Amino acid sequence: MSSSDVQRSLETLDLPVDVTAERQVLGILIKHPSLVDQVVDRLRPAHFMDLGHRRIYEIILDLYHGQGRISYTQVYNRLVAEGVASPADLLIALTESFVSLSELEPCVEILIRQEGLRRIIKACDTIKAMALDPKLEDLTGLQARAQELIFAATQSNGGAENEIKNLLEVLSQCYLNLLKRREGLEDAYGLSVRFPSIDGMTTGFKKGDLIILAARPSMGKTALLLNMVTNVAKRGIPVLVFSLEMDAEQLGDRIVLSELFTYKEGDRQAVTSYEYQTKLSDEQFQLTQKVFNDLYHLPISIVDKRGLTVAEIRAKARRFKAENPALGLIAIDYLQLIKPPGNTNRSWALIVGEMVRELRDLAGELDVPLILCSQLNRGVESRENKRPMMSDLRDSGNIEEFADVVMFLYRDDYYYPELAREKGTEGLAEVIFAKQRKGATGVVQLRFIKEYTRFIEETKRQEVNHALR
Amino acid sequence: MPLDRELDKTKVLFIDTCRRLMELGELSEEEYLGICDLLDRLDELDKDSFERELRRVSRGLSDLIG
Repeated sequence: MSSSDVQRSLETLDLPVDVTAERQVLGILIKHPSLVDQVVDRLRPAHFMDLGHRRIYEIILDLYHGQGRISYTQVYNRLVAEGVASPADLLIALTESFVSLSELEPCVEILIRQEGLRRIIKACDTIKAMALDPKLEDLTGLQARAQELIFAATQSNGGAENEIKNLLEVLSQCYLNLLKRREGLEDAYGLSVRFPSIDGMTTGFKKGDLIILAARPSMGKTALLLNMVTNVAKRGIPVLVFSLEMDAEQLGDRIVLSELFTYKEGDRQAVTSYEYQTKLSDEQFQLTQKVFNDLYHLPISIVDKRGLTVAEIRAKARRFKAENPALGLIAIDYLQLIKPPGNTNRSWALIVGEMVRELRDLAGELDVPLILCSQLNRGVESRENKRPMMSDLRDSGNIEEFADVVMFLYRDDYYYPELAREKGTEGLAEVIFAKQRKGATGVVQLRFIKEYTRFIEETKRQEVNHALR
Repeated sequence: MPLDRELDKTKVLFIDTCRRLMELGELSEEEYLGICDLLDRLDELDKDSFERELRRVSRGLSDLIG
């Protein structure tokens, strides 16, 4: 088959293809094997549409990785061994394909571009076929799948050239960060949640990090999460919250209530939780209206759909990030309510581990910290010391393996209210940093105002400073 | 470059012919592989060395070409 015949036959597929460019690249690589280094991290076999060419490129890569000599004879013998028809004709076409080495780069660019276009077309075709499937029932599932396909198809071909950084580049960035810290610039640190003791331990949550916030039920996980979310949003940083347990209005009420705690009238609260949830006086109503007005503009977005899968969370987060590039934090409440993928024979621990890994990858992909709340199993209750430990996470699929930060929330008064009253630890909450990939472990204290679902700082300033050091 | 291209084309035709000769029993597999290796090292050899090497790997083919 002549070059123009192959081109014509591939064109009938209605896909962008340039058989001549494919030949030029292969011809140059066989003639000048040292140039394989220049393309190996950018060109994959899929960049070649002609199957004979694709096979030749695979052979070239095989010889390259196996330290074998790349030559016409070696490629010829491999083609013969695989029973390819007319290998000599195939190779002679390559010998005649190029005039100068300068043709390599433009041809590689053509192949990369066309493969990118083909991926987009293929994704669109697949989505169209799925959408037209008469058996389709789950529109939400299709939307999530469609987003995934488009996202995968529009990923750049960026290869090792972007991933390999020399020490000069790395240290230049480190030095820049050092200068920012020295000058006290905010972006020198991770994301502050405006709890000095927590920020002191973490120096802010880092982009791409997965932060686990785990506790037994009713310990205050959601409250602490919402407090941190509100504090971040108050600085104009968009936050996306996935609430798989409470609906959006419940979260809204909690945020308002938590803010109302800061208003006092004399030595009493201006609005109690009970009053907010029953009936307010005119003054209380005006004050509460003011709180509403202060909160309206906060860039907090809530997804309160139950039974979301990781794939659906990923799809929604990707779309949100595309529409809100300044997204600064994702919060998920909570892990055990995420719907596991169906049709699997794997153990629960493996499934949870896989979901956590995927969420960590999502944090990395979107370049934001992701706080994931998690329940702890009942094992804690059977111990005398009920402070959670890393091993309490282990039954749930090696969560700690994938987490960058593991925070446990513990309150003495939850288990021993009388003793806590005697010891004066009533209302005290311990935030136990059991793991920090980029920092120290330790414990800080907050005070939990349960009625207002509000945490306030308790760790003394000098201790916070110590932690910061 | 055109000369280079002709040389590569000739190499492919030559090795294709040798393979057919091997299939016909005119060349042993050992001779065939020796010829492949010789072609891969062609750039490193002058005319005399090539003829000497070719005689070494395949007397029959050398006589045929000679």
